[in-house]
Amino acid sequence: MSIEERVNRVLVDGVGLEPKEIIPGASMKDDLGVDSTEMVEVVVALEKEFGVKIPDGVITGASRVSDIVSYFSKGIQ
Amino acid sequence: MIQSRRVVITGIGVVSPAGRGEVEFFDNLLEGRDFVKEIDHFDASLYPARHAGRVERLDDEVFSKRLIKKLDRFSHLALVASDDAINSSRLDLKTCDMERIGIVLGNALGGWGFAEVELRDLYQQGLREVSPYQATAWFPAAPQGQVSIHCGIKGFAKTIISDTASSLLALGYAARAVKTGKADVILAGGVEAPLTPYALLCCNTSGEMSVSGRYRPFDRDRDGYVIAEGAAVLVVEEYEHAVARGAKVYAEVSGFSHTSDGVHPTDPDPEGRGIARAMQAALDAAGLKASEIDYLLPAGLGGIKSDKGEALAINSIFAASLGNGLSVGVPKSLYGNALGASGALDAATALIAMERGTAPTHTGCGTPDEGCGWVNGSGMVVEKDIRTALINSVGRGGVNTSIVLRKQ
Repeated sequence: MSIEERVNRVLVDGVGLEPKEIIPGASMKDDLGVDSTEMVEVVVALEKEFGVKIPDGVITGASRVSDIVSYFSKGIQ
Repeated sequence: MIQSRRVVITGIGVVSPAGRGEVEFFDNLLEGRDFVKEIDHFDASLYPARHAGRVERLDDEVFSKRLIKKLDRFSHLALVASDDAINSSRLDLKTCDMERIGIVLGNALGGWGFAEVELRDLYQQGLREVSPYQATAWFPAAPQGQVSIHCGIKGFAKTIISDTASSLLALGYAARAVKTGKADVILAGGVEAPLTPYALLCCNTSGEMSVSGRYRPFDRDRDGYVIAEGAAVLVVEEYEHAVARGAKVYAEVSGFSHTSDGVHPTDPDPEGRGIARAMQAALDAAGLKASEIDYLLPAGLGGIKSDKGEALAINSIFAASLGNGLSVGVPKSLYGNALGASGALDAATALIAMERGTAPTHTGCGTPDEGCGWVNGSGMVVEKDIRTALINSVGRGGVNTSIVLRKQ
């Protein structure tokens, strides 16, 4: 499964977003309506999925789906 | 001006083990179908009392998966029942002053289905594994909050936590709030989703649940209640407000009273004095004599002490009409006692019975206990004009409440 598919799966299974909503340019807060509490869920779920600790402020409500995919694609620890 | 305000019920939403909605729910009660079975959605084999009434199917096309993930099941049940109640009432919330619309729900245990999983994760995996929604999912007022958000309710709002008396108290307080002008419409009722490993264990350790799995109120061999999950929400509305919009009126909430036993931390008054006072006060508030009640739904907890006390109270208040025109039924014996939702489910049953002119008089009772000869037993239905009904609910710690409904 690609990084993008794994990120999408987290957003669908973890947050309950609809697959059709998740497009690369969609911003978490403004486009997907992910509030601050959901962002906590997103970050924790991504950490579990990729086995890494994400520093605070790296993935936020302002992040786009493509930003998240890029972050993990670069293999940043 | 306030005293002239009358309070009526204009909508019903029911989600129960016996079905969803007025028609399915009531038709199943009339058929006398048994909805109690051994719990099989988790391993309850080691629990002494492991029978329950479960909402087997919750078809819901209104609330998104995204929302439901953040909620305990009891909030989901409340949302569905509330939505159904509003649809039943044909109340168009878009035209309402939402500061005059309220909500009062009863619940006994809170959202343990959600909480238990998070507690497990906390102890097994640590802090970061706990859902950020734990706090908002579990607390007993969560259904009130979620329904308020969904409907845009901005008015009078409360959650009543009083064990098995919760939802009938909620209905009574909602009626009182509408009567005294605090709101024009209140969604009132109760919800419970106690069929979880920990919640079921807590109820087991109370010693009040039936180990036999047979819910037989007032039966000589009764051994407690069978638990259930479910929700019932009623649209409680000021009469003129209802008439102005052409609403269907099921009945008037014409009497409400509640008392305390003040006898024991958990056991009821063995003489039933508290529930007798509640019934009499509700009748007095309604301006009715006991002999004018057509249909009585006792709390019928199925406990040795609780039923004995309630039977004494019923015998004292309704001496003239028992076996002489008064129909008595505990139809929840067919699907279980939904704790904090039980009173509202009974109220819904009474309202539909008035609508249909048919009273389900099942009690699950085979051999009536001494002083309970007025119990008809299972499989009975009485067809008659039902103009008045009295409903009881009692809660642990000696909380008693009675409501009188009167058809227009």
